[in-house]
Amino acid sequence: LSGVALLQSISDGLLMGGIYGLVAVGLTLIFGVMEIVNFAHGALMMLGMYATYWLFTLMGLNPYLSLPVSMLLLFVIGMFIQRFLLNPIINAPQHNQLLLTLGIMLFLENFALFLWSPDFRAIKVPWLEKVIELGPINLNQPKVWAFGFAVVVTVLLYFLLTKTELGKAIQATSQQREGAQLVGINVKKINAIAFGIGAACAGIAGSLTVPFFFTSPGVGQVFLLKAFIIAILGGLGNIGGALLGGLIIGSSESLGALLLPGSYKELVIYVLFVAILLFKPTGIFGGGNS
Amino acid sequence: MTGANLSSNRTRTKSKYKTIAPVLVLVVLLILPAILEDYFLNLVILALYGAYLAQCWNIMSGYAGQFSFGHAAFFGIGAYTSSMLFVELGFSPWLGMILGGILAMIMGLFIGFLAFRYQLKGHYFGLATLAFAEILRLLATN
Repeated sequence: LSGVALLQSISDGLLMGGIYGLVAVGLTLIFGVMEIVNFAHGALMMLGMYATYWLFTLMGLNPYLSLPVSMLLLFVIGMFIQRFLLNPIINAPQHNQLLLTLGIMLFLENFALFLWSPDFRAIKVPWLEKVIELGPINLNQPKVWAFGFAVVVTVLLYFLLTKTELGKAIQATSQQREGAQLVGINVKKINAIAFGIGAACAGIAGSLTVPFFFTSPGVGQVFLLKAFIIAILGGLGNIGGALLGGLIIGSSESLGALLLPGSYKELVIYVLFVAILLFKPTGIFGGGNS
Repeated sequence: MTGANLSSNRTRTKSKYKTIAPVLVLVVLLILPAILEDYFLNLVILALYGAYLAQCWNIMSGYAGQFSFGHAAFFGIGAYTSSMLFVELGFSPWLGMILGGILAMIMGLFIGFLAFRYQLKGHYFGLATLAFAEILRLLATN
C-alpha cells in the first residue's frame, strides 16, 4: 500500500462526497423545515438524472447547461408534492408522512420503469474524458466539475437561507411552525418552497452525476441511504454539516474500498452510522434535534 | 326494545362470531388444498404468508409504535439459518425453522437493547433498523 494510492483514494472519495453531500443537503433542509424524512429523495434525484440524460441524448445539450432545467423541473415537482400530497397531512403522526414519501418513491420509480425501461444508461461526453493530473494523482474530470458545482450550490443555498427574507421565513418555520404563522408567515407556502428547494438540490445532484454514473429507474437507492446517513451525521437540519458529512462518508467509503476486501466498504459506513445514532444522534456538528 | 338491550344483543352476536369465525376459516383452509388448482393454491398460500409477515411487523410497529425498517433482516436470518442447517448438516427445515426463529429473536433482542438503551425514537429508530438490515445483508452477500 503506497502513499500515492492512499492519496488517490482519499481524493476520489472527497469528490464523490461532494455529490453525496448535495443530495443530503436537500434531505436535511426538508427535514429541518417539515420534520419529514423524505424517502422519495433518491427518486427525485433519478428524475434529475433522466432530464439531463434525455437533453443530452436527444438534443446534444451540454450536461452542465441542463442544470437549470433539472433544477426548475424538480423545484416544481417538489412544490407540487408538498402542496398537494404532504401539506394535507402535515399534522398527522410522523410515520404517516414517512409512509407517504415511501409511496411517492415507489410511484416515481415504477413510473420511470414504465416510461424509460429498466435499462442502465450512460452518456459519453468526449471533452470530459481527459483526466486532470494533479502531481501523482489523477482526477476524473466530471467528478471535479460535480464537486465544484455541489460546493457552489451548497454555499448559495446557505446564503439564501441566512441572508434573504425568504430564507429567514424558512428558518423561522423550521424553528417554530406556530410561531412563524403568528407573525404572518404563510407556513404552507414556505413548506412548499422548502420542499421545492430540497428537491431541486436532488435534481442538480442528479444532473451532475450523469456524466460519470449510470442512469436507471432504481439509481436513487444508491444515494438515498447514504444521504440519510450523511444528514444524520451532519446533524439533521444542518446544511453545512450535510456537506461536510458527505465528504466524510465519501472518503471513508473510498478508503474502505481500498483497505477492505469485497463490498465491505459499505459496511464501514453503516457501522459508522449505527455508532453515530447510538452515541451522538444530534450529529457530530450539532444542530440536529433528536 | 331498549338501547341497552340492543347493545347487549349485539355484543352477544359479536362474541358468537368471534368463536365461530376462526373455526370456519380453519375448516375452509383445510378443504381448499383438496379442491383448488395449483396456481390458485399458491396464490392463497402467498396471501396468508403476506398476512403473517404483516402481523410480524404489526407487533413491533403497530402495537409498540416503533417504526421498523429492519424486518427484512429477521426474515433473512430465519431463511439463512434453516437453509444452511439443511445444506450443511442435513437438519430438517422443521427444526431449522424454529432455530431460525430463535436466532432472529436473539438478534431482535440485541438490536432492541442497543436502540432503546440509547433511547432512539421515531425516525432515528427507523433509520437504525434500516442500517442494521443493510449490515446483515452485506454480511450475508459476502
